[in-house]
Amino acid sequence: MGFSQDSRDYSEADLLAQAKTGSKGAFESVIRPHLPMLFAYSRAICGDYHHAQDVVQETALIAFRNLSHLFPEADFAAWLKAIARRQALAARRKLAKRGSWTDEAFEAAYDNPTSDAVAAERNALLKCLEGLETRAGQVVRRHYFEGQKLQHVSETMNLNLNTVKTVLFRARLALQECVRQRLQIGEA
Amino acid sequence: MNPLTCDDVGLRLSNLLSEELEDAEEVEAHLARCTECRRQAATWFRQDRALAELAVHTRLGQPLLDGIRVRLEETQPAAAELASTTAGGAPVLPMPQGQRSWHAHAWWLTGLVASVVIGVGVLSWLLVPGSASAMARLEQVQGEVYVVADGIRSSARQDQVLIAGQGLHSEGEDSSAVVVYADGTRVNIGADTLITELSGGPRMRKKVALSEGFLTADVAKQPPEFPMLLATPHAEILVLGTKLNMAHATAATYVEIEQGMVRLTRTSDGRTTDVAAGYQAVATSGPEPLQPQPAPPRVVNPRLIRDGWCSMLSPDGTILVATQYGSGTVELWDVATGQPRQRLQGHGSRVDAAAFSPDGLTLATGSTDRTVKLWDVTTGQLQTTLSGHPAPIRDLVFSRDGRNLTTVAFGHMLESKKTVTIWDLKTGERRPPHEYAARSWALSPDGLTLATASDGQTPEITLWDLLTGQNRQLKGVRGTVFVMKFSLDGQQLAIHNYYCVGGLISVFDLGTGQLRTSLRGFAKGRIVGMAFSADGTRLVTGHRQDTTIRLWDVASGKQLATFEGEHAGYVRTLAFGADGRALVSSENHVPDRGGPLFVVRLWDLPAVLHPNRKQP
Repeated sequence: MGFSQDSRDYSEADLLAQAKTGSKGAFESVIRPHLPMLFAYSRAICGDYHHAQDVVQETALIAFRNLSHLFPEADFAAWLKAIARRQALAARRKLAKRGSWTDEAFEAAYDNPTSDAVAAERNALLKCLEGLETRAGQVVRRHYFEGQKLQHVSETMNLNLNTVKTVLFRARLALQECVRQRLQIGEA
Repeated sequence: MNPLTCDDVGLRLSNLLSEELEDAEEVEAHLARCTECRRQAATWFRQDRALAELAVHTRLGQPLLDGIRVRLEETQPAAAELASTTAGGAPVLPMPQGQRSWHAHAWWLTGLVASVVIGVGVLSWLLVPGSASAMARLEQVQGEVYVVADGIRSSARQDQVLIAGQGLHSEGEDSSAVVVYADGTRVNIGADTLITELSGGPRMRKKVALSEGFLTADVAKQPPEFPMLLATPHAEILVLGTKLNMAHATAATYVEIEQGMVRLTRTSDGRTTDVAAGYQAVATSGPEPLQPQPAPPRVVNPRLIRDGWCSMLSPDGTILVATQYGSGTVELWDVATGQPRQRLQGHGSRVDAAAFSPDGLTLATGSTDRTVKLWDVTTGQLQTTLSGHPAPIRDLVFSRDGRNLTTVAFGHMLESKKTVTIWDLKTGERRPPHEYAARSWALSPDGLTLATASDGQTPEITLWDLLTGQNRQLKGVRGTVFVMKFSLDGQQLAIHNYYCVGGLISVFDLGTGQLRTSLRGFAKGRIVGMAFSADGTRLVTGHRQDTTIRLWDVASGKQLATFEGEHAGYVRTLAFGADGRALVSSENHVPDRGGPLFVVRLWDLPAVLHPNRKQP
C-alpha cells in the first residue's frame, strides 16, 4: 500500500484509523512527522546518537502493535513521546546526571511534542549553521548530525578535547544569538 | 571552592548536553539561585532539540524510516494481532481492572520453586548491554507477557532490561516470566499475574508490588539497610533473606517461606508477624489472627486437561481421573508430575461416573453404555465388567470396606426414575435393583443411603436406607431442589434449592435431622457443582450464571472466597482432594464456534481457605 505521496492528503486521524486496521504504510506516514522529535527526545535521554535511533525504531514498533490502545481523541505525539521516554530510559547508558532544574529545562523543551513546535527555530538554525565559522560548524555537524562523541570529534579534527568543548560552547552561544535575531526579524 | 559564574555554568551546560559532564550538582546549585542561567538552560535544551531534529531532517530521516519498515515487517499488523489474541480468550485491551482469581497459578507453584538456583542470574547479568543503569532484566518470558508503564503496555521480550517503575503483566494460564535483579535475586512471575511496580538499584530497596496473581522470589542479597519489600493491597512483606512463594487475590495475600524469614505487616491494622522457613501466613482485610501456620506440601497440578468431562481424585490425592466427553476413554494423571499416567479404554460411550475403592487400588467407571468396569489402578488392566443396568450409569460409590458398589442409573436428567443397584464385588452378584422417584438425588459416601428430593415448591427430602428400605424425611426445605451432596463422613447433607428470591444452600445435620446452617449470597445464579472438604468444615460451590466458584465455612455460613472464573461456560463438577487442599473443577467452555469444550483443572487452595487440612 503506497502512502508515500498520497498520504499528504490524509489527516493524522485518517492515517491512524487506517493504521489501526493493520496498514503499515499508513502507520509509516503517520509516524514520519514525529520522527525528528522522537529522535531528539530519545537522544537527550539516553545520551547516545546511535542508541536513540534504536529507541525510535522500537518506539515505532511498540506504537504500531499497541495502536488499539490509543483513543481517537488522544494526542498521538504525546503518546509516542511517552513510549520513547520509557524506551530511552531503558537504553540509557549512564546514570542520570541531570538534577531537577536541568530536568525541568529539558522537559520544557518538549512540552509541545509536535515537531512543528520548533520548526521555525530549526529552520533558523539551519541557516545560522551555514554562517558559523568553519571549525565550529564542523564540530556541531559531526556531533549532532553524525553522532560523534566529543572525544571522537577531537581525534578526527586533531583538537584537544577541552578545545572541542569550548568550541561547541561558543557555537551554541553564536547559534543562540543568530537564531534570536532571525526569529526577531522574521527571516526564519 | 569558588562558586560557579554564569559563564562556567554555560560551559558546563554545554558539556551536559553533550554527555560530557559527570556531575551536575554544582550546575544545579547555581541554577537554583540564578534565574538568568535557568533561562539560558531552557534555551539551550530547546536548541539541543532543534539541532537533533535537524539531524533527522538532513540525514537520518530515511534510515530511521527504513529501520522502522524492516521491524514492522517482522511483526503482525496491530489488528491481526489483536484479533488473534482475542480469539484465544485473553483480551489484549484494556488493562484488567480489579482482582482476578488465582486458580490458574496453582500448577506453576512447585515447578518453579524447585528450579531456583541461586546466583545463576549474576553472571548473565554482566553480559546485558546497558545494565549499569538498569535494575533488572527478564531472563525468561513465556506466553503473553507485557511490560507496563504509564498505562502503556508493550510486549516483553527475553533479556529485556527493566528499569525502576515498570510493571509486568502475564496474561493467560501459559504465561510466565522470570525477572533477575542485578544482585542475582530472582522473581518468578506466575500466570495471570499483574506486578504494578518493580523497583530497585544499587542504593535502593528492591520492591515488587503484586496487584494480583502469584510469584516466587529467591532473594540472593539482602543489604541490611535496603531489605527487599513485597507489597500487596493487604500486606507489606519485608524480606529478611529468603526464598518464598506469594499469592494475592481479592480475599487474601498468601505467603509461604521456604528459606529465611520475612516480616509481614498487615495493611488494614499495621499488625506485624515474622514468618519463618516452613511456615505460611495469610493477610486479609479483616481482623483474623495473623499467626503463621506450618506450610503444607504443595501440589503440582496437571495444567489443563481438555475434553475432560467427569473428574475426581484418588483417596491419597496422587491420581487425577478425567473422563473424556467425546468417547468412553478414561485418563489417569499423575498429580505430582502433571503427566498422563494411564489411558483406560473399553467403554463404548461416555463415562459419567468414576470412583476409587477405599484402598485406592481399584477404579470403578460407569458409562452411558450401561456398564460398570473395574480397573486395576496400578496396571491399568480391566478387571471385570458389571452389566445389566437398565439405563446409563450416572453415579457410583464403593462401600467403606470396598466389598460393595452402589450404582445409580437413569436415562436423562429430567427423568424422575432412578434405579439403584448394590453389587457384591466379591461374588459378582447384585441385590435386586430398586427404583426411586426423585428430581434430585445424592448417594452417601458409603453407598448405603440415597437422598432424594421430589419435584415442586414443597419438596420432600427423603433419606433411604438402601439395605433395609427404611426412610426418614428432612423438613424445612422449600422451592426447587437442584443439587444435593453428602459430606464424606455422611453426617451432613447440603441441599441447594431455589425459592422465590434466589438460591440457598441448606446444610442438614443428619445425626439430628435438623437444619444446621444456611448459606446465602448468590441470589442470582444456580449452583451446578458442590463438594464438601474432607473434614466437612468447608463447602465449595460452582455457579452457573456468574461462573464463579465459592468457598464457604459450613459452621458459620460465611463465604470465605470467590474465585472469579474466566471460563466462558460453567463449572460442572467439583471435588476436594483427600488432603483437603486440591480441588478439581470441570468447566464447560462454550466457544463461539465448534461446540462445547470441556476442561479439567486442578487448583491449589491457599491455607486460609482450608486451614484444617492434614499436615505432613
